[in-house]
Amino acid sequence: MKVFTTKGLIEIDRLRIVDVVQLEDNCRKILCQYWLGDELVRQSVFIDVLRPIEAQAAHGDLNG
Amino acid sequence: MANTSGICTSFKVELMLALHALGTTVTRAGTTADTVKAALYLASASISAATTAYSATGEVSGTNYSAGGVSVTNATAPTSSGTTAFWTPSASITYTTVTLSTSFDTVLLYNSTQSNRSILAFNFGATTVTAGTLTLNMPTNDATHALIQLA
Repeated sequence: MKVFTTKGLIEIDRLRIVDVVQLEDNCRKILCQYWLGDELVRQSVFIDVLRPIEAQAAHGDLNG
Repeated sequence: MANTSGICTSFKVELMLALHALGTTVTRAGTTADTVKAALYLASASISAATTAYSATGEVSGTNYSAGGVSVTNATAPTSSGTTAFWTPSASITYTTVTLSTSFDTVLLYNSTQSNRSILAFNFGATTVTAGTLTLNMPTNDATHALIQLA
């Protein structure tokens, strides 16, 4: 299987795949990185919205 | 049973449905749902709850990203549970095969049908995308987790 990268389509076997999980205040980020040697040639980001802090704070005065 | 004070829950839902006009307002041309879009902003931009409308200033740019962002799937109308009205996009927000090399950290949801007026800003921490996909997975659409909650 080939993967689209900054170097074009590359066989997935040639790539080192690393998932990096980052926790933020209101979400969880998963960075799916594809490395060709020492070069990052693809990075997808998946963000799970866990809590809309800003939106809730902005509407705090609507408490009924 | 006694009388109590409170902003009516139905009113909170109806705010999101544009059923009330307590001041001079726009004349709505139709009864269909407005189009909501999602634009991404650089970490150096100044998007916040004080942002009143979409602007290209500070917006990301890069391969396969179009100014103004992408349309948000809105198949579920606002509703309520208990005294909380809520709404969440009905699908993930996805930017496919983009390269956004300059650090960005915020998505602005705005109403492209109503003069690009702002709905909410969501800061997810600085990140970049390289020849990949950015996916914003929405929370469960309930009174505890929904993206917009009027409690």
